[in-house]
Amino acid sequence: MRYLVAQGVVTDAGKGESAGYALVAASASLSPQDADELQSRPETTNHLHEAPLAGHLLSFRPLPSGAWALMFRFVEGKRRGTYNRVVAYTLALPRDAVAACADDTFVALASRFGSWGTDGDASIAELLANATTAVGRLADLDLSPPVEPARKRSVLMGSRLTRLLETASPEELERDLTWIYDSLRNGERVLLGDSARNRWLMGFAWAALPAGDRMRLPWTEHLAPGAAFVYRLACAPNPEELASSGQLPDRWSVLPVEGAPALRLSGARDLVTKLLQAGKDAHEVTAELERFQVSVLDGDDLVRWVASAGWTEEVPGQSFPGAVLARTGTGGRLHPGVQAGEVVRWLAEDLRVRIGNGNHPPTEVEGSVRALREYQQLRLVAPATLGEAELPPDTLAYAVLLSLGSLSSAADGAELKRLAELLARASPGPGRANATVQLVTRLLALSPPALETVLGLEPSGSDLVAIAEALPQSGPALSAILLHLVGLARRRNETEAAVNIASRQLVPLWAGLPDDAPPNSEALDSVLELLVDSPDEFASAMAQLRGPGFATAAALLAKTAWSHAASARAIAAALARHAPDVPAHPSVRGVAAALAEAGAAVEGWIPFALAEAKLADGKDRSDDGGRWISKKSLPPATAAKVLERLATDMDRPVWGDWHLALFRAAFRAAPEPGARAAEVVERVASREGEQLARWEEVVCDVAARLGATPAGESVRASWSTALALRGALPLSDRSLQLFDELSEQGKVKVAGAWAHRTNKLMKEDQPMWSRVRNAASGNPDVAFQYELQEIASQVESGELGRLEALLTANRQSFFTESPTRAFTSACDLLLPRDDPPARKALVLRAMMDPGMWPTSTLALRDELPGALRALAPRRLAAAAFVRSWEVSVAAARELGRIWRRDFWVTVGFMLRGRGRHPALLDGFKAAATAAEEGKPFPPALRDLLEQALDEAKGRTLGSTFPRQAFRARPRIMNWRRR
Amino acid sequence: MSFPLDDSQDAPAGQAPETAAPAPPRLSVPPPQAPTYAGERILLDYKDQGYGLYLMAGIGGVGKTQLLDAYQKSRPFLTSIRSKQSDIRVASTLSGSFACYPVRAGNRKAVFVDASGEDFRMMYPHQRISGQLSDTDARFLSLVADSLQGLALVVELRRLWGEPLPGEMGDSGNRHQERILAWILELLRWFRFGGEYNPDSALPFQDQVDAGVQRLRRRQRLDFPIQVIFSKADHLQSVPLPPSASLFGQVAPSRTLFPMGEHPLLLAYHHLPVLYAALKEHARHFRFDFAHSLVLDPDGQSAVDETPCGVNYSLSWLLERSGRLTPGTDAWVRLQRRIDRLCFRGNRWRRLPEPREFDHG
Repeated sequence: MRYLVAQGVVTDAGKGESAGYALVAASASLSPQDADELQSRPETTNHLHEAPLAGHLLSFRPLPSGAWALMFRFVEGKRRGTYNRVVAYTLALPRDAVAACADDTFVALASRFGSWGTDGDASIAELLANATTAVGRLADLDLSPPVEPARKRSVLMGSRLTRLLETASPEELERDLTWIYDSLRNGERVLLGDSARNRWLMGFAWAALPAGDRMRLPWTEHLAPGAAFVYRLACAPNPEELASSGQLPDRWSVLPVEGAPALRLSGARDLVTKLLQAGKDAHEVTAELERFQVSVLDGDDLVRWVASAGWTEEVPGQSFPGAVLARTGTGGRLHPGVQAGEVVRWLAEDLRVRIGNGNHPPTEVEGSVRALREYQQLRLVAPATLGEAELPPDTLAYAVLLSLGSLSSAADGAELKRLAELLARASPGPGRANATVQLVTRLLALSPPALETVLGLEPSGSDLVAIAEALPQSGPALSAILLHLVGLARRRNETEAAVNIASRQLVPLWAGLPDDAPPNSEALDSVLELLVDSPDEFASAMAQLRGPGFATAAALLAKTAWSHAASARAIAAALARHAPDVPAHPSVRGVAAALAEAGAAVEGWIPFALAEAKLADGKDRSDDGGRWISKKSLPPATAAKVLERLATDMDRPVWGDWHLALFRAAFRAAPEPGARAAEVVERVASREGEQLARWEEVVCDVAARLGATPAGESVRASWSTALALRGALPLSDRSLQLFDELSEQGKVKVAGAWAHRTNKLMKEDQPMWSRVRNAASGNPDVAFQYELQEIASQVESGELGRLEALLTANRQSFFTESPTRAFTSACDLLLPRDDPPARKALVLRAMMDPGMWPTSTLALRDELPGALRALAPRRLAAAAFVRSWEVSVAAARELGRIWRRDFWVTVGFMLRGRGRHPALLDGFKAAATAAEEGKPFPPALRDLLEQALDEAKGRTLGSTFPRQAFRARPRIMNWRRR
Repeated sequence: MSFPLDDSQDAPAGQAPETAAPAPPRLSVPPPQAPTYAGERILLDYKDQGYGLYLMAGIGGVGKTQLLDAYQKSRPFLTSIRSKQSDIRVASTLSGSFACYPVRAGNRKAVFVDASGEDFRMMYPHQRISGQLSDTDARFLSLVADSLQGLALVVELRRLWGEPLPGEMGDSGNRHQERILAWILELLRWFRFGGEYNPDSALPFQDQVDAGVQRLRRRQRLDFPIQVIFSKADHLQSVPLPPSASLFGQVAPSRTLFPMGEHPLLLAYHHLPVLYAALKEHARHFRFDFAHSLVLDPDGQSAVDETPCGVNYSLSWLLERSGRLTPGTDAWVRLQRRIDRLCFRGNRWRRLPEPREFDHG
């Protein structure tokens, strides 16, 4: 029998170029839908485009027509640069052809292919070689399956298994195969790493499935993310990375590199064991499944089959404790007639023995619950089977545990209450304790919670803590349940448990509540009062709570400070550890004073004092709440701490009288306030002017106390600089004195800071003006700044005609600076942005006068880039520069450089002006005019202009064409011809 | 299903079999899915976070990813485009997948979506062997249409009008770029204004789209900016203009393209009539421009010019273009034609003018 098979070749249509992947050749019998599908998904990947690939990669997937695509992907030539050109060659196998090959891809691969209607016999290699050059029409093929496909299949499977066993131990192979089948049975897609061994493993796993399952599992040896939804079994390089990249549409299970994890229980392991035991006859195992139409992929088919066919003696009891299995009767297998209740009883008794022996209960319970569930699933019995067994009191608790484990999480209240009744009859012991915790948790999770039933169980303090921890982390009634648990604990005099639940569960829950839904005030009072005797817990609660919760805690703390000083001190000490920052809430008023009176450590009350300071400064300056601090004589050690704290607290936005009071008190008492005080003053100096005035007296005191020390110098310099930046004029005598006390160097530095206020100083504060002017003469740079300011003020007052004279008179000052800096500063000061262009040009020309700049244009030329950058925002016509050819050359070069580096920036620069490039175009025009007038035209400038024009031409596209530049060009060209 | 040993046969006599109890959940194989795109979840996440999408459209190999890569070199991309070995050589976007590249666009959240050219080509029914398109084939556009804030249509004129590429095999849509992009515009407009496929209708999908678009009102046009980019402009110097129709039949082109002197809008007006008409019909704001390709030096390790001409401006126009209330492009064109007529320049709307004057050498 022969079958018609179509071929199709999808590859990049432009060899050596990139023209996109398309169907370049196909057989006439390839259906149009299949052809579209093939060229829609050529399944190329970056890996295939980049990495070398020897041989080909196989895929097997269904096509829209019902045929199956056996696709070979290989690399042939390059498509663009060094990227590989991938060829996807497909054989479209009709379904009956696949069936004739025992539904096995590998049998189909071993078939004979020939051109349709001829007796040719082409190998796969020949077909692939033909595909590399195929264009247009390809011949239809006929497929002749092997004579005995089943035998061929058995040989292929056997050899594949043998080869697999050469690369891994049977145990590893068993684990990996079980993992693959388990994942597939859970409806997951399976991804393996890209290695020859994994391809063999995938092939064997696929081939060992029954035919029905095989035809539901498309697979590929190299997964392309764009076609991932097609396949369920695949290999890929870096599978973990691919699966977590977000590229794949579904969840793919990735076989870990180090091999499969511990076995899961679903019957898959028994199938794998059977396959491996069969060795070369593995196909017979599959054939048996096929004969009885057992699906490996469908949930319970395999489990039932394994149990019924007797493939294993452990099913279902492989997770059953040995002691239970021993009682089942027949050879270790559970007899089908065993009653469900009986199994529960056996498991519960076994559990009692093991938990009673001191084993770790959760693990033990989990194993037994799993066994029970497995039994229930296998035997199709209802989950709740407890009532069927008459259980003694000592076993009852364990049976409840088991039942709880096998009940669904949404079990109804009636069932839980029935279990609670049973548990109430159980004997005390670890089993009952465990069951109580679980049952109470479930009862409390009901809506509404079954509190009456919980009370009936009489849980201990540790039980209550465990219950609170096991509760879900959110829920509408969680707060009420926790409060109830706290109340239960207090009623049973389990204070430690009550505190534990309150601090670990309830307070964090309240802390997470929104401000507009605060906890009940009575509840807050009662819980915080409970915590007062546990300083750490109270402090922790205070650090977490906000709004009304915090207010209640603060009020309680103040109250405690007056009534129980020792408790308050302990809480204050704990607060210093838990809550170094206290929010500025109105409730903090008076807390600091109360704690200080109670003798609390300064670390404890300072945060409250600072919070109170913020409140006072932010709202009411007449508030004298800080007065007690300034009157209080602080111990020296405390004062040092306060200073240190203030130095770090000064960054806060709101501060003022409170800080002043604190600082004054602390500074007075601190033994060595030097560095810290200077730090505080520096921070004060960076504040607004209004508050500077309030600090003046204190700063003068500080400076006087620090004397001529470096700290004192720093305080004076900071203060004088701050006044230069923000202080009100005229300065007070105290401030002038502070300036006078500065060292000479310090004065020069401060004079530099005052330079920008020259005009104001001259008008409003002559004493300070004369001081800083004198100080400035000690440094040429600063002196230059002052002179420039004076020139600027004269220019501003209309003395423009004297500009050149002024500049010339100050030449010496200019030359002492670097030309660029001087030029830039002069531009900044002398070229007001809103002045008319003519005035700008006048100023610029005055500054560009050759007599003005002694090193002439040569120095300026080298410094010009900086100067141009300074001019750019002022939109100055660069024509002003074109008075000297050297400067023009430099200008052109710089503009050309800007042009070349960032074309669009330059274009933007051009368009921001008068719609055209004001600098370069003016330069071009001036050059062209000069050329026409027969002026000497330096070759360097000509070359640069040519280069800039070429650059512009190469860059010019569409509507962004600087026409004026090109209009100027012919004139230059004419000059060249001349 | 039959088993050699039925479970109920072993039940003790007189006792009801326990099969009446609820059966455990049966694990089943998920049904076949509609095609999904690699990176779809990432795209949906961007949409959920309020990003505006900017789509690059064009057939395979016209340089969509390359344009983005060139743009990346002058703009601060948050994510770099995947490339091989160095940051220069751009890999093509794979079929069935798309990549998202977030960019800074002022205060707005913007992300460029770069899809595979093969997918765009296969959305055009006449590029399919079956000639039929289904809604699932165009699903990608339905995913992006509602959040689109800009569209770049990339056309490679060399492949549209020039000689076949060296070693070119089969039809990769080169000569149909205009029609493919016009169809993409139509599809986008359909999806944008609530187009839904009706599987019960006797009309095939593409006819439903056609009919749906015809029902739309004039004001229901694509309101985001559309930039048509003539890519690889540095390779267009000698590409002949296509023959134009006249009373005497097809007239052979009188000259070749000269991109640095051509007016892009006029070029499209005269020689890309299908695309121009589609833009006029389906879009309000559109613009044409040339852009150079990212030319690599011979060893392929670095770009000869890291800021190819035309790229930055074209894509920035997309990002910066706003003002849905401003008059549409065709209104400006009408105004310009009127001005040209008054200034005795009306002739340039009758035939493509010669490129602007400057020395070709």
